[in-house]
Amino acid sequence: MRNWWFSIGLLFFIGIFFDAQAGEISENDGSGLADYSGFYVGGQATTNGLGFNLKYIFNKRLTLKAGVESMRLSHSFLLEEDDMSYDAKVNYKTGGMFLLADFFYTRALYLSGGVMMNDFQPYMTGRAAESLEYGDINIPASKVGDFRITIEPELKYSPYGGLGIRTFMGKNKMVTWNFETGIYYMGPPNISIEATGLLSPTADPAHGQKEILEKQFSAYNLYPVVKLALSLRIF
Amino acid sequence: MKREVIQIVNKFLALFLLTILFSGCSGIFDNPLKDKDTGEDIHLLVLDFNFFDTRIAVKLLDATTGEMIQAKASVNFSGINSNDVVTFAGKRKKDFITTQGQIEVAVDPNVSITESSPFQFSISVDADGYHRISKSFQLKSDGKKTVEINLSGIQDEKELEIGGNLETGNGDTTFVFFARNDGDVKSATDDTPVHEVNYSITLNDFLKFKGAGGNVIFQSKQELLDAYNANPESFIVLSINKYTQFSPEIDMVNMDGGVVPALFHKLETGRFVGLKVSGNPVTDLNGGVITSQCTYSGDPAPDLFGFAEFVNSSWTILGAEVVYTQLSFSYTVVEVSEEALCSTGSSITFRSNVVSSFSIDADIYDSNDNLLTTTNFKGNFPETFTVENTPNRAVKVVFRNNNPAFQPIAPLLISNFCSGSHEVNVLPAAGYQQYQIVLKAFCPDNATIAIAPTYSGEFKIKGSSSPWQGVDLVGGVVDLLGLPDQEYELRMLWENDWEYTSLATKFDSNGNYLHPYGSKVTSMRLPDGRIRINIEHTYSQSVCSDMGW
Repeated sequence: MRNWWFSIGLLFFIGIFFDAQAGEISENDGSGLADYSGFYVGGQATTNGLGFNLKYIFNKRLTLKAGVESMRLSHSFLLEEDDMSYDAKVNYKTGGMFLLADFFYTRALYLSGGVMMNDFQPYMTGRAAESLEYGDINIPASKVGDFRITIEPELKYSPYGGLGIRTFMGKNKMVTWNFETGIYYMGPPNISIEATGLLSPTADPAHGQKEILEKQFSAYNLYPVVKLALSLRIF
Repeated sequence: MKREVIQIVNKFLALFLLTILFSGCSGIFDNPLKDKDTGEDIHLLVLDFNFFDTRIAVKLLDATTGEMIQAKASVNFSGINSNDVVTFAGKRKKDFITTQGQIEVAVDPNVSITESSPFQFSISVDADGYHRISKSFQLKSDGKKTVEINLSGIQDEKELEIGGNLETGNGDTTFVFFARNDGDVKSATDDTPVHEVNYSITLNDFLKFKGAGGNVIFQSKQELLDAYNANPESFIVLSINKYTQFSPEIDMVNMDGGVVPALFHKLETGRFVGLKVSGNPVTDLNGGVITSQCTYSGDPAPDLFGFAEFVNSSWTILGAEVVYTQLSFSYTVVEVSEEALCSTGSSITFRSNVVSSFSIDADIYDSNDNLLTTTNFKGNFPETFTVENTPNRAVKVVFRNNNPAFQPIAPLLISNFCSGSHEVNVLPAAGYQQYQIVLKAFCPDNATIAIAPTYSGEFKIKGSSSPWQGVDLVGGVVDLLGLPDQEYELRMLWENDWEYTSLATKFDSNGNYLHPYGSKVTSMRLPDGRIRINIEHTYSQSVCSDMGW
């Protein structure tokens, strides 16, 4: 996990350094951003999903952008613990609708901020794969039971801050390319647990396991993203 | 110059953002599986290994006092479904040793229990100071079952020394010694014994008996008659130890070629102690026999009466006469009703205005106040029980007043025990308050998994003489009644060991726990006003190794 965060940080550094150089070159061109203002539509690939965006470049300092992105990944596997085995499935569901403003303090380098109505809701399900050998008897899988653990962020509307680079491409500069890194603040995770059979007390509110886990994982309140976006000027 | 400023600003900004990023995320680098406050491993999972639909609590009671015995007892399961009896670790087990007067077992959940496919088993108990006893059971539905075994104490037996008379039978040449033994079960009308057990020995058999020296006692009839005539009052003394304090119950009886549950009452058990003739002990019957007859003089006479023998998991009525060929004989005299019992009978719902579990014992009487059987209801309010193996008649259910948390419960009159739905309203005793106990148990070498047992427990004020209050934990949670500002003990039985947890009903005005103990105890006030007491308890018993935790 620590290496991953360092990688994110490194991306910031690389991006800033690269963009600083890009800014110099662009400024050496002597071209003006006002020529490229207008309404753009495009798509993006981010660690928060794939989607499309609409943006309007007001001037060389300010761009407003809105869009939607979504990602759903699932992975099935056999979860084995001691003598128990569950047919488990992780469903990673994220994405959302965002409204962001990019403030350019160089020609290409910008700070981005805004809010996203997030759709972050990963969950994991499991069902006993087979009967459990318990002492001298076999416990039917139906009695071993199943479970579902869902994680939802505390905030439905997550503030966002990021840093990005934008360049114009093409003969008429009608295409923009953005590389952006940022972080959504989602708040501490809310964990819900449903279970039957063996794991049923884990889901029983009397045991407070949900609260215990939420406290332990409360530090995981940020969602870092890396974005690549391509847009075409419509008018 | 401008380019250099921009580069400096960019780098400063990058450092600033990184600082914000890492300082804001410092907690991310902490291991979430370590407790944020203590640094100890947290338990990710709380498990309940209760895979069982049917649990059976076996209570061994002293038939005289009604209290649970404390003697070392060997408990053996036999019968059709005895191989389906398992421990809570899932181990098939038929033989148990207990010094606690009770054990709790479960039924293999793969075995279906229905009216058409009842669960049948027998229990035999050998306990120090008590006579061996066997009893059969038939369960026709899943659930929490409590079975009681009433053991007769050896020291509670009454020793009788019975003299004999010489009688001449029907004018032939046979002489009979007749010994009379009045039973202790009295007639309801005139307080006379309703049954008798008598003994007789023919003259020819008598001549075969050997004494202490290994020689026959009398060489001829004339020698025998001379000895008798010389001292008829004390010529023969038969010593019998007997016990007559058994309560009626339901047991499996062999009737009409089939084994069925029936209203069953042991009227008397007895065993041979000694036989003396002219002061000399008889040591060997030497081919001779002692004949015993039992008679019933009560009114109305039972459907079946006589000597009975427990063979192949059921009682067989031997008749009114048995013949003993060995001196070390014992016997059981029973009365049995041939009335067919209903597989399932009345439904009884227990309700209360409090949130609590309960364990209520009840005695079932017929309309003439004759005790028919006893039963136990264990659950959580409101809960409905359908009684099994019930007589098709009016009964009065008398609830025992042995739970200090409840007010005495009025008897329930049922016009037909085979049908109908009935409700029993249970009121809390004065001063008792509602609590919820939430138990998480750990094993010393595995703190990452907590166990929330579904199990029977008992609860009472520490050190008090009041009876233990039965409670029923479900997934580690039990609602119960307790007196405030008291120290309580909660105990659960694992095979032969009690696992004790202490707690106190002492809280501040916000419901916070005020009385630290060995176990980790916290509390909180629930939205409904009750106080939840959370207990984290580390097992110190063999349960962990038995369960493979």
